[in-house]
Amino acid sequence: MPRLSELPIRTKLTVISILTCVIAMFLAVVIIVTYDNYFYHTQKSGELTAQAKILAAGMNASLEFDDQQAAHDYLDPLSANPDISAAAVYRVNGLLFASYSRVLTKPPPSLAEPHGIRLKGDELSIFWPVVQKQRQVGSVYLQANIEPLTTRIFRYIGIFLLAMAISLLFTLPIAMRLHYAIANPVYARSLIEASIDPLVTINPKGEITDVNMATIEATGLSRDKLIGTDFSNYFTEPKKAGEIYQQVFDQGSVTNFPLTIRNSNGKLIDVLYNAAIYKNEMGGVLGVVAAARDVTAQKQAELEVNRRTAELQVANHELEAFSYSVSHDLRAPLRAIDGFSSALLEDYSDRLDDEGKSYLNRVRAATQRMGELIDDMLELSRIARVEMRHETINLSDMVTNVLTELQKNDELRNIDWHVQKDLLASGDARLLRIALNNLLGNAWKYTAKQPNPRVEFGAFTDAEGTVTYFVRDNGAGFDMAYADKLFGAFQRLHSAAEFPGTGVGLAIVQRIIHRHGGKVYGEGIPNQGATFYFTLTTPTRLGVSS
Amino acid sequence: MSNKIILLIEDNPDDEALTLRALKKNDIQSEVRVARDGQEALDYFFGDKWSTNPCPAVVLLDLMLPKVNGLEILRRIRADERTSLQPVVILTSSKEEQDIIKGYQLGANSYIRKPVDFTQFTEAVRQLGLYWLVMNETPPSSQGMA
Repeated sequence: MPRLSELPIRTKLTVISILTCVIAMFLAVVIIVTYDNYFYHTQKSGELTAQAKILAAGMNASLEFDDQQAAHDYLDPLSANPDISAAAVYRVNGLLFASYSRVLTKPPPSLAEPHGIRLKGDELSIFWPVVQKQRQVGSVYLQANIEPLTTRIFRYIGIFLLAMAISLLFTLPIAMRLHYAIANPVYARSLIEASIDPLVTINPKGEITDVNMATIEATGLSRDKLIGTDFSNYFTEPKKAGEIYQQVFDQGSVTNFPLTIRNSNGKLIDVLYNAAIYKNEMGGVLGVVAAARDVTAQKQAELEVNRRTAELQVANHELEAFSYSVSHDLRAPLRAIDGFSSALLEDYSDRLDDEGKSYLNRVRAATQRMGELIDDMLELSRIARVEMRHETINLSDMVTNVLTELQKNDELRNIDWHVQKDLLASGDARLLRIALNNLLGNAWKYTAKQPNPRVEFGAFTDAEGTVTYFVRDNGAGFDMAYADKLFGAFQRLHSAAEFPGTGVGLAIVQRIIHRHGGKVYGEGIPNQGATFYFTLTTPTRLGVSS
Repeated sequence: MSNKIILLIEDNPDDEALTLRALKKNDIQSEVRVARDGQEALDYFFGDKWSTNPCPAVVLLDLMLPKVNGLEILRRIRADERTSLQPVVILTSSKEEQDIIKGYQLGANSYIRKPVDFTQFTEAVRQLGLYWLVMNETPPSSQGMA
């Protein structure tokens, strides 16, 4: 027999109510029997005394006239009282005068005994004086059989058992019906129903024991059809669904187990299952609660993202094809213009005056500049497209490298440069090198007219832990009024004659920094210098995500 | 060096004229054969009269060509055992990374970008001629064609 704790709540409630009922009835029986036992004797004694008094009063004349026949006439009707088993009248000297006794009962004693009532076993007897004019003339005797206590108790128990049987017959079905409502606890039910996710409880055999509305909707089947059936029936891959119990029973729970519910109308719903076993108070496994999260929308969103990515890829491909053709086709005519201008200058110089030659030189300079612009434009678009590879970079080493290279290509310059040591960053090495090339190249270029040129690279960390790197020079600087134009493509704050360049360098820098999730800005004072600051997504944060 | 032949595969007449001018300016006397589209270039090596065509000391190959593009020509040259060792220099406008990588992957011997500045271009052609026509020894098997 299972322990009470292992029984379903419904059975528990029934057992408890029957027990309560039985205990109450038992107590009632005990109380009633005790009460009855006490009053039964008192009542019986009272009755017997009254009877004895009546008999004594009736015996006066019989004793006075010594009329035994009259005494017998008086005693005989006592047979009508079933309680009286024997009766007798005694003369004043104590000798028996007349008597009556039922068959099979003990006859009255032959001599009168002292007056009073007495109980002997199941026998209650009384001797009572017969008084005439305040003088005793004899005694009466009455004997009654008292029903034994046990008989009475058994009778009461019998009555109570019968009463209980009858009451249970009526109340049990009502109670069971009520218990069913209570045994499916309202709270737990509403919790299950409150979930918009399909939720089921499954017993250890894999049968569904409860479902919520969301499950009914997801499967398209009614509650009655679902309960008691195998849980794995409702999925496109029943075998895989069966693995859920395996995992749940092995590990206690399952997280985000992907399955597809097959609705009765044929619709498929992609879900992630989260399930856990539930136990009784003693730790025994009662079953599994499994909740499904509908991820159809999520999957659709994924598809949407994929579609957009594909679109972007197409756009990117087109851009690549465009820049490819720009790279090939736009430069060819420039080469022709420059080449033939040069041919004119060489082969026909005798027929050209100085002004004509200077025009041709201008044509050549302009075409060459156009060539540079095209190259820079292509570079800018390439920077936006190249795939990024994140790694940890020692920016200080990279800066030293770039500066050394600049120095090698421009040996006449003597620049005082300072690089803060071991500044690390996470980013794409190739792109960051291009950015630093441009920033340091600018610093190099714009300090050309400074007698004591100085270039500095360093970094500082703000309160939030963001590292800001900077490149500072004491060169030509710029007017802050034009700061917003610094990073626009082909925007220049100095003429090409003053400082050469196409105005793409800072646009490239900005694009690279933005691709790293950072910010870049510049500060300058004309003729005193410029500082360019940039941030990259902090290395620690990148360290976590990569 | 006059007995050596240069095959110039170039569809743009301006570029052709400028290349020839640059060669002339650098005193490179070699005969220059010109293929003006991809098909012509392939015919030079694999057409009916291939056996009568002299084997070039170097092929100057443009990439953007009508009919058959430059990289495809290079692939065909490398795929055929008669021409697999043929020195091929890509001489083109672009410095697109994909072109450079693809060119070398297909076995180009060199990749030179034509500068816009004709002075620089002339210098490039001078060095190219000096290297491929004078200094470089052509592979023996490529002689078999002539």
